[in-house]
Amino acid sequence: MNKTLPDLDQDNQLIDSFIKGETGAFEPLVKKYWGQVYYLCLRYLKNSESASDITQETFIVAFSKIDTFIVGRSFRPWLLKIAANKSLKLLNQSRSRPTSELIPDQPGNPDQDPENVLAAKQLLDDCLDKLEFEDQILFLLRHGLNLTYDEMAMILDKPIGSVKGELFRARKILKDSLGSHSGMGEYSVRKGG
Amino acid sequence: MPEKNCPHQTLMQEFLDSPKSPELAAQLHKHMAECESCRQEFAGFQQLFQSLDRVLRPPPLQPTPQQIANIKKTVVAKSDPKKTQSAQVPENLVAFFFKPFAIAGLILLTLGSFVFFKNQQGTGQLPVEQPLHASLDLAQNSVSLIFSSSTTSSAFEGENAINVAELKAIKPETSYQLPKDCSILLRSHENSILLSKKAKFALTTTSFELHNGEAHFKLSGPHQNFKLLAGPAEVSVIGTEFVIQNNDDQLTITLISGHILVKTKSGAIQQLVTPGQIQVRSDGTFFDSQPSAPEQSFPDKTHESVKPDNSKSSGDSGRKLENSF
Repeated sequence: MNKTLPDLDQDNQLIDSFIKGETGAFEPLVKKYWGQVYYLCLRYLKNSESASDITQETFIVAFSKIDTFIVGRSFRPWLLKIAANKSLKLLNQSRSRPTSELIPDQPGNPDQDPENVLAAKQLLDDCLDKLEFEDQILFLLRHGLNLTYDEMAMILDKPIGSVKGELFRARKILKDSLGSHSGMGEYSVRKGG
Repeated sequence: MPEKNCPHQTLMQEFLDSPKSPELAAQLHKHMAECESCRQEFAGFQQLFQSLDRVLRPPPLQPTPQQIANIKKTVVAKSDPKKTQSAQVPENLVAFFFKPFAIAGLILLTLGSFVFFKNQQGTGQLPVEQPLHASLDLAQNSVSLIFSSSTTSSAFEGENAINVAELKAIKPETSYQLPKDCSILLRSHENSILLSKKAKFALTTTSFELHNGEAHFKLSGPHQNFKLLAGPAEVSVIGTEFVIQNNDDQLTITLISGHILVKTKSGAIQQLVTPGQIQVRSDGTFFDSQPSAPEQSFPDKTHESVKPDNSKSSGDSGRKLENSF
């Protein structure tokens, strides 16, 4: 669930190389984290073009200011925090929260029935969209990006206890919402799998 | 229906977050064996977790070659604007620098060109009252630069909010983007190290501290309250160009144009209004000032050759730089 130590070491080695002047060292990190950064920006901005722009900016800022990154720590939450801040900044500039959801179709798990996956995704997206904006981000960070509560707290600038409490509350709301949408009392999109 | 606010609902989520906890598992198992509603609740949460993990997982998206190229271009431009020139610096030159016995005689540090802007004519586009403190420390085999703003402390407060940039070692041709259009350029040139800083500040109060080494300042435009702290003295800058050398036992300030006011730790004050030199002992007392060759020039070319000013720096191991920023 969390970053493994070799993962951390690998990131740090690349960063170290970049700092020492190997400009090409940034590329594997961009490729590795592009999807996660983009997806986080998209969840904030709900617009693929803006998300793509902010993703690019995130990496530019990160590598331009790599001196402020403390080597030895995890690169991913640091990067995602920049992405979150830049996304929020853009949102604040437009002074409006996004209202429409634009999340790309995901490949899903090939082991599962595509119809089920699609139905589950659709239902979940519908219910997620009705949640508070902040709750959507919590779900993405925890379930989509597998961040620890420590990392989430760092990105969101909140105490761990608050993050946990908010997520627990949001899960309960989402579960109830899914249950009511499925019309079966309990959340289920299972069609036989 | 499950009981509302049942404490086990929280335990369920705790367990699903970290299912490896045997104590939690035992506690839940025991409760759910007796509580049908919580069993249903747990099943619902379990399915929710699985769906969220699956559906919210980011797609394996990769940047396009164009996006990578854009990032690379911008990052390289920001961090290393003179990349092509730096590539021509021989590598063994850098190694040469770091030899302790060599560095003592060769470290020539020129810190250049602060251009302060203070546009106070009502447009309000420039932030005000954001003091910038910069310290420069030449010690042993490394140079470190720390720029920080006293008003912010985080690196995550916006694109222009990098407020701590630290160089662990000299890297030729490296620039750092600093707040408020500031930038630093480190340049390795022949057998000396030049450090330049070209800055446009919208600051009302600024100070710069030179712990050890040499700095060349050239200021133009309206600016106020710029002070340079260097060893035993504080130099107030009033629109001028000068070189300052701070060694352990002596501080030497060579005025090239304009005028400067030097106030030492002991409270003594001297002013130079014509090109000349002021020397301050480590205890804060002045040596007698000497006239300096007014024709000494610091041509505004960043790659002008560097050579010692042998004409008057008796035994000063060639610390003057014919260079400006």
